[in-house]
Formats: sequence, C-alpha cells, structure tokens
Amino acid sequence: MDTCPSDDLWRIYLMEGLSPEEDEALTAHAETCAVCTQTLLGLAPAEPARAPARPGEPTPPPELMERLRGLWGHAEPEPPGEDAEDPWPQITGYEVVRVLGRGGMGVVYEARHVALNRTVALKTIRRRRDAAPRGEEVSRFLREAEAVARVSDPGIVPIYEVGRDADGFPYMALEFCPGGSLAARLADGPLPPREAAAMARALALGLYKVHACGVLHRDVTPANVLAAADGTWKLTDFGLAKLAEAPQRLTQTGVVRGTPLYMAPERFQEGPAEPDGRSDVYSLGAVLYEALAGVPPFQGASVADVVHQVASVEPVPLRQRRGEVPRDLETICLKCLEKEPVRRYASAEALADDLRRFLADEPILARPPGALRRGWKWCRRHPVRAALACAGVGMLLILLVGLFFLNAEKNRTELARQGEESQRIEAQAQEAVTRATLDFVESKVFAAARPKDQEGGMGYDVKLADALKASLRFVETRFKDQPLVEARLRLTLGNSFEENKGGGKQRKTKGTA
Amino acid sequence: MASPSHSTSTLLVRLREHGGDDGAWSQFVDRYGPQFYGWCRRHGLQDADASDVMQEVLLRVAKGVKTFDRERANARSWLFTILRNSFRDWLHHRDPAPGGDVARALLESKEALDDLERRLAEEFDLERKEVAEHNVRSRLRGAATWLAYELTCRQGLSYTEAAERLKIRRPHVIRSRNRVIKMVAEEVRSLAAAEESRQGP
Repeated sequence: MDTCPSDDLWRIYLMEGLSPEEDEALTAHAETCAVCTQTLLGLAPAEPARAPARPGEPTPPPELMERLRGLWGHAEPEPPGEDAEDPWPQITGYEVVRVLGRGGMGVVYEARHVALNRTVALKTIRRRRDAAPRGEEVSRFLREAEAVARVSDPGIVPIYEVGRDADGFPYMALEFCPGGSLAARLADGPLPPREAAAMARALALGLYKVHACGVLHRDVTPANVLAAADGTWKLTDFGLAKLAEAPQRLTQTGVVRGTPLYMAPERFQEGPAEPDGRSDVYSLGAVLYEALAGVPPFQGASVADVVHQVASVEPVPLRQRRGEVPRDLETICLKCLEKEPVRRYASAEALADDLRRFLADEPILARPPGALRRGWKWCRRHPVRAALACAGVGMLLILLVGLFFLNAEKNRTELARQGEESQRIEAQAQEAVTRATLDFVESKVFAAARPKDQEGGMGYDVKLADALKASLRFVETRFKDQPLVEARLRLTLGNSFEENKGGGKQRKTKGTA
Repeated sequence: MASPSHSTSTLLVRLREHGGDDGAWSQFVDRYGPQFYGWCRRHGLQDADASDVMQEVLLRVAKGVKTFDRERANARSWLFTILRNSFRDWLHHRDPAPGGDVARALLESKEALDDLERRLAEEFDLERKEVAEHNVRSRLRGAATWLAYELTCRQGLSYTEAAERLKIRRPHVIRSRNRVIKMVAEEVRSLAAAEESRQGP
C-alpha cells in the first residue's frame, strides 16, 4: 500500500468491518507505518483518568496500615472470577457492545452485526453458572420468536434472526430501538395528547396484525413500547405471547404472568371466559392512559391491592387528572378500560379506527357513558361515599319507621282514653313532633355530609359516626320540651353509633336517655 | 468465589453487605486510609495526630457502615459526612490537643474541606473504573482482546512487546486495546447511571 488509508477506513478497520483481504492489507500497512500506528492509537476514546499521583505526600506508617487492615478480618481479596453473573454471549458474526436491559427471563444486549454493520438488539435467555438452558425456557423463547417473525408491521419491532450461541443458549436479533422505552420517556412527564393518540394508533394496528396471526401479546406495558430510530413507537417483548394453538399454561398453574397494572380484569379470573384480543385492547388502553395522565389507571401499595382495583374500581376520568386531554380521546381511552370485554372495542382494529377519526378531527364512534351508568361508575369509583349514602338512606328509613310506630302506639292509647276532639288535637301535635324530628334528622344528621363551608357541613367525606356524633349535640337543645322524642332519638342515635363505631361516647348518650 | 454483588458494587456497598469477609475492608483501608492521612498532613497535622485521627475515622466507618442506605444516600457524600463528623468528635474528645488549633482550623477551612471532597471523588471514580474493568474482563473471559489491554494499558508493555507475548500482530493489539478502552468507558457510564437511578430523583 503506497499511500496511508484515511481515518474513516481505519475506523472501519477498528470495528472489524472490512473484508478479510482489506483487513490483511491494512494490518500489513500498520505494522510498518508509524504514522498510521499513531492514527490507530488516537482513534480510541479517551481512557478514563487514573488517580493523579501526589508525589511527595507523606503516607501513613506501614504498621498502622497493617493494624487497621486487621481490624475487620484479614482475608485477601479474591482474584476476579471468570464466572460473573452474566457472561456476555459469544455469537458468531455479532459483537456485543453493552447490556440494554434485564428482564425476568432474559438479558437484552446492544450488538453489532459485523458483516452488515448493523446495530441490533440481541435478546438472550438469562444465563446461569454451569446451567444448561432449560427446555421450557427454550421452547417459550422459540415460540416468542415464531410469534414475532410472523408479524410485519410498523407498530411491531421486527425480528431479524434466531439462533444459538457458542454455549447452546438461544438468541434473537431484533431491530435496535435507540429511543428507549415509553416507560423511560414517561418519567419526564406525560406525552402531548395527539402524540399519545398517534402512538396508541400505531400500536393498535400492530396488535391487530398480531391478533390476526392467532397470537395474543399479553404483556402490553410502557416498558415494552420502544421508540425506533425514526421516532415511531413500536411494541416488543413477546415473552408472554401465547400462540393460540399452543398448549395451555406453560407457566405454573395459577401463576399470573405479566404486570398487573396493565392487565385486564378477566386475566385475573379463572373461568370459561378465556382472554382474547380485547384483553390486549385493555392493556393498550392502560398504556394510553398512563401516556396521557403520567400515572397508570390504578396504583396500589401491593399487587393484591392493584388486582382488587382493576377488578372493581373505575379509573379516575382522564380529564380530572389532566384537563387538556380532549374529551373524545378520554372517551376512547376509557372505553378500552371497561371492565367487561363486551363494552370495549371489539378489536384492536376498531380502536385504531376510532383513534384515526380522533386524529383526523372526525366524530368518533365511542360514546361517553349515559347518566345512569355514570352514577353506577361513580359508586364504583367511590365505594366509601356510596356506602355512606346508602347507610344514610337506611338510617332515615329506620327513623321514619320508628317514629311511625311510636306515634301509632301513642295514638292508640290516647284514642282509647279521649274523645274524638282531643284525638284530633293530639294527632296534630304528633304530626308536629314527627315533622320536627324529620327536620332535625335532615338538618343536623345529614347536614354533616354537606361541604365544609355550608352550615352544619363537615365535608362530603364525613364518616357516619362523625355525623352522628355531631348531631347528638343538638338533641338536647332542640327537644328540650319533648322528653320522649329526645329519649327516643338518643337511643336510636346511640345504637347507630355503637353499631357504627363503638367507644365510650354512646354509652353516655344512652345513659341520659 | 467472588460474591455475586462483587462485580457491580463499590467497596462501601460490599462492606455493608458482606462485612470485611471478602477483603473489602482491607481494600477500603488501603484506598481511603492514605488519602485521608495525606490530606491531614497536607493541611498541617503532625504524623502522630494524623495517624490518630485516621484510625478514629476508619473505626467510625467500620461501625457506621451498616447505617449506610445505598437507596437513599450518595456514597460519596455519606463518606464525606462521616469523615468530617468523626474528625470533629476526635477533636472534641482530646481537647486540649497538641496541634488542636491546626486541626480546628482545618475543619473550618472551606479550601481544606473541598480538597477532602475532591480526594474522595477521585477515589470513587477510580473504584468505579476498576469495577468496570473487572466486569469487562469477566465478559471477555480473559481472551486475547482483554490481554492486549491488560498488558499495554495496565502493565505498561509496549505494543510490540505485547504482540510478541500474545503472538498476534501489533495492529491487532491496538485494535483490541481500543475496543476494551471503549467497553470500559461505556461500563463506567452505565455504572454511574445505575447508581444515579438507584438513588432516585
């Protein structure tokens, strides 16, 4: 070689990206050319600095050092082992660059396909020391590969190749998505609504293709949504995908695989209703919700808590979390999150269509729930308040019935003793008492559930016990001249209080009665 | 056997989790002892005082390391705080100390404290780099690629010597060396990122 190769050529040489003949020619050149040797050395990234020497600085006396070392055992450091947790796979044709992430089953590496000079994501099964890959893991992995390979869509991360490495562990080469995961993106805050809608549409179209092949994804989460080099979002990690025709339940019986935060309620339920494409629609809805709101639809302290909420609590409407979310987009998202599969979009395609309509500013097909359903949903969302309201109505009924019998009893004895005239007067008086009592219940007991700034109000979240306690104060003053009513009220309130909460206060109340 | 956390953990974390059993304590003494001693001497303490206070602070670290919470605290600031506080206690308990004035002045000098922080930071960086080298080495399983780096960058052999030793051609030694430098640099970055993400926002 007469002239020195260019820096660019040397860069390719360093990446082992040349043909064997070219490589040989450049090696031979560098062996004799001092200039190119310097070029090669200079093309390395700057080496991380070593600790600066501080010449002349005094060092501690050796015997002190010895004593301090002995302070806590004196084992010499182990030589660095060759068997680190995850030795990188050695795969012909690939150069592994770094670890991208670790999951329950596998490690994903960034690697370079040397011949094609293409960066890929290499997915492998987690490697254990001295452990051969287990048959079950391999078959799961291969089925995943099969599932992905059958789908070609811009919303799905494509698979390039499947094989086994030098140690017999299977691997899969996927398109490398340099933009990272949606989960990482959401750490910086929610997406703009239209961007989130466009993302959900791309994913829905991808899911639709997956479903058409008889494959459920089963693990649609923000961590499995990746940003490709062109900025589009794609779905990956079919680790849980189950081919429709494959044998049931590879996982241990009863073990639910997946992230409960994004799982459809029917996924937790054993029963005839097998999860179908609409379960993935639910998960995609949950991902869209989080992309818009910044938080998943349900949050809980424990898995059991989340599972409970997914099954029986309605998500907080999106616009309550973030006012700028358009109403139609909220409607679409909440339709995905319906508890019953029949109320969701029938397919991922239908969801994609509605999102397209939204993005094109056309009217969407999904309708927000009607007033009755909204009321029911409100009850599901606020089980405590709903229970309080029920308890309140129940209390009122008990009081009314009680008063009715009280009056009837009294009326009967009075009637027997007195003439018709006095009967009528007495009945009128009783009616006044009843009305007064009802007024009292209305204005004092239930007033407590009014907002705080209104008279007698203790705020909507008031507990029944608190309301009762507050109303007791008024019993004495209000019914001073009607001792029988006062006693009866005290007894009723005292009993309610006892059933409701217990404690010392009601005993005192009943004592007065 | 190296402990599982060996490959990715700093000395402080290993100390906390395994005590001195895997040699972490000796390494800790060797690394931070002389730094601290050198710092004391540089800022005017006599050998006797510097030795005394160094012993005191290392003892305090040994006793206190169980309280180090890696999820919450930055290891460097944790260590800095415990060094400074035990220095202060040492000063307090041996009052009136010969050279007590120098020691007191040292604790109050921003320049001296900055110097201590800088020294700790350097040691932490070095530690991280060694962890990174260890990780890269075990990934490469001691192959020639690693040895090219080991011989030239760590042991100071010339490329020609390394080529002879490894029986490969000199440009290939450079190529392997470059590749490992890049891997180590990337590993250092990802270790730093992992530490940051562990401590949360």
